[in-house]
Amino acid sequence: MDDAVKEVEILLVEDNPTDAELAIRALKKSNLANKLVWVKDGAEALDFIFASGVYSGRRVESGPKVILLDLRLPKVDGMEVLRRVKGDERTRTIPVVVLTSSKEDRDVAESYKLGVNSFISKPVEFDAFAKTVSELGLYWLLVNRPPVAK
Amino acid sequence: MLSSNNLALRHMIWLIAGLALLFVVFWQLPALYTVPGLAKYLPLHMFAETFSIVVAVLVFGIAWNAYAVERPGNLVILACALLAVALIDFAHMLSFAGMPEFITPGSAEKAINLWLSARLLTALALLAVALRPWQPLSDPRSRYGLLAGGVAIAALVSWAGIVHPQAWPRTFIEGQGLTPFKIGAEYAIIAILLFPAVHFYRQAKQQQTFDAASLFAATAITILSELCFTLYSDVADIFNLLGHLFKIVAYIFIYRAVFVASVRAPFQLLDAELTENRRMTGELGMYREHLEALVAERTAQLEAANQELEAFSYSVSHDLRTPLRAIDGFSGILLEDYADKLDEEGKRLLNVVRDNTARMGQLIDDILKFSRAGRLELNFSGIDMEALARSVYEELRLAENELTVEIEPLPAATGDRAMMRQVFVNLLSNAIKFTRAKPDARIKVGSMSGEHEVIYYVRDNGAGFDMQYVGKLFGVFQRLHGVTEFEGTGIGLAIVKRIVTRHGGRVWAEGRVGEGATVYFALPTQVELNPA
Repeated sequence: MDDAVKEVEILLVEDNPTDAELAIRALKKSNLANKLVWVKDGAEALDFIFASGVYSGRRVESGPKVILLDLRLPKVDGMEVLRRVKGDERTRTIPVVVLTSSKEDRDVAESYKLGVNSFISKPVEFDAFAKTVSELGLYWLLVNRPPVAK
Repeated sequence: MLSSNNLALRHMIWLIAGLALLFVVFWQLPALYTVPGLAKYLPLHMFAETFSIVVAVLVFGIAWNAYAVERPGNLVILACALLAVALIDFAHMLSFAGMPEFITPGSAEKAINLWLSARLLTALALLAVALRPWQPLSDPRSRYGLLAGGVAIAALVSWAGIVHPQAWPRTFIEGQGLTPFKIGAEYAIIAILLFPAVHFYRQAKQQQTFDAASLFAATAITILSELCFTLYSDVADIFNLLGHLFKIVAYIFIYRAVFVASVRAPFQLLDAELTENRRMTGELGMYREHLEALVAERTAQLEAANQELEAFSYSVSHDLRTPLRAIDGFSGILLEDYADKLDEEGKRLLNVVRDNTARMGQLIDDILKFSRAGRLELNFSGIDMEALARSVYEELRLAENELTVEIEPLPAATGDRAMMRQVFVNLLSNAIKFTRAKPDARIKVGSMSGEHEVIYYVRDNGAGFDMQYVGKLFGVFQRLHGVTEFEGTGIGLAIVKRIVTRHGGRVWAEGRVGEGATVYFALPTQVELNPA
């Protein structure tokens, strides 16, 4: 557990187990799911990112390389998680990709206002979804240069 | 106003009865002198006359100054007559036996002549007022004539009475008393007064336009006064005094009638109107507030309903898509991971599932688009329709390779840009879709002017449609082709119709199977400030 959480690359914040399963499957296909942690609600996400609660053993600086964030989450809303992550000096540089079923304009606007790096509407068809997710993973983990580590 | 007319009338009658009783009492008593001797009587007489002259002039003053074109002319007649009477009474007072010489020496007969003249004038005036309908003067300027006439009569009579007293018939013989002529004259005057008395009494019972009760009292008491003057034997006796007193009371009643008609009644009317005005303003204010409150309430209700719809749409867009994705995804996983365990039929079945999920996703998107077309606020601005059509064409052309769309010059319109764009997108997409099978596909966007509207159209020479189904064309999810012939959910034209309707316009279409179709939409040239 210690090793895995130390070197986590992708934090998947998704409350729907089916969507989570599909996403993980797509990422696995592209060999990107090795260092993936899946949390099911906003509170757990915050605990993980800020090394509190169950995850107090972590170090905040070893944060994930990218956060895939759903907006509709129980306990703490996705938007709130986004606000916290982008509001904290230590975590601001972590790329956050909102991956949500919503196509509402106001969600897009609000997310960008809070500093989201990318906003993706989940496609309905699985093929498109799988393609999007693996492209996402490839981009943020391989193509994109992460910020220089401290 | 004169609401208690009947009550007033009853009071008058009591008063008149009382005065009559007084009269009878003195009649039956032996001759009475209030003050012994003429010399002592004169000041009393002067006082009485002066007082009645003052009242008469007051009557004139009020009626004359309160005159308005719409006010009844009867009051003016009375006023001018009373002014003349006042002047004659003044001459009479100065001519009384024992008074210092007034041009000619004072004498009983001189005084009586003038007295009779004045009383006759009063009686005639009251008769005229009774005979004439209570209405305005036909010519407002005639009141000057009346005034001049009254003054002229007064001057004439006074002159005749003062300067030529001997020309008058005998009325009083010292030692004998009143002549038959004099008494006859008085009865004649009483006779003249009878008609107005009865008339005013009747009027007092029937109507409230004027103070008939007061005029009735005036007339009746004048009659009483004249009766006194048939009975006196000495110019200084009680009957003379009583007669003068009655005259004063009669004048006061005339004053009352004129004052009420000229001053009090108008003010009461004004008051009533003001009160009514205030009441109506109050009611109006209440209605206005109520209306504003109602509008605020309705607006709040509408906003709440709109917000509910927003939340619903949001919910639909989120919650319905997720299970769809699961259905699609997991059937996809089945196909992938268990491909070797499935035969052709199995794979086909799963693909049917997946196809239908995709379609359902499309339907959800379309419903949301349709809802948005009806719900979102329109932002009106001037639109270059030609540029818009071209821009949409450019966008769609990227997806299609070979496409010839002819866009004619289009007049500008006023509307919501985003919505109008959606209209062009839907219409051009349709045209493109239905001409895909045709080798020489031709699409044209044009316009023509109509009455108070501009008509735009998109014409294609594609699959067309049967005119007998034209009514279904713009229905929601109504299609005239199967999904295998042409893709689509049948929402495009319904959205176009909704948008154009919200702009105050209309849509219609013409078509021929196999030859093509034209969809028209008209936008009004006069755009209202508050669109639907």
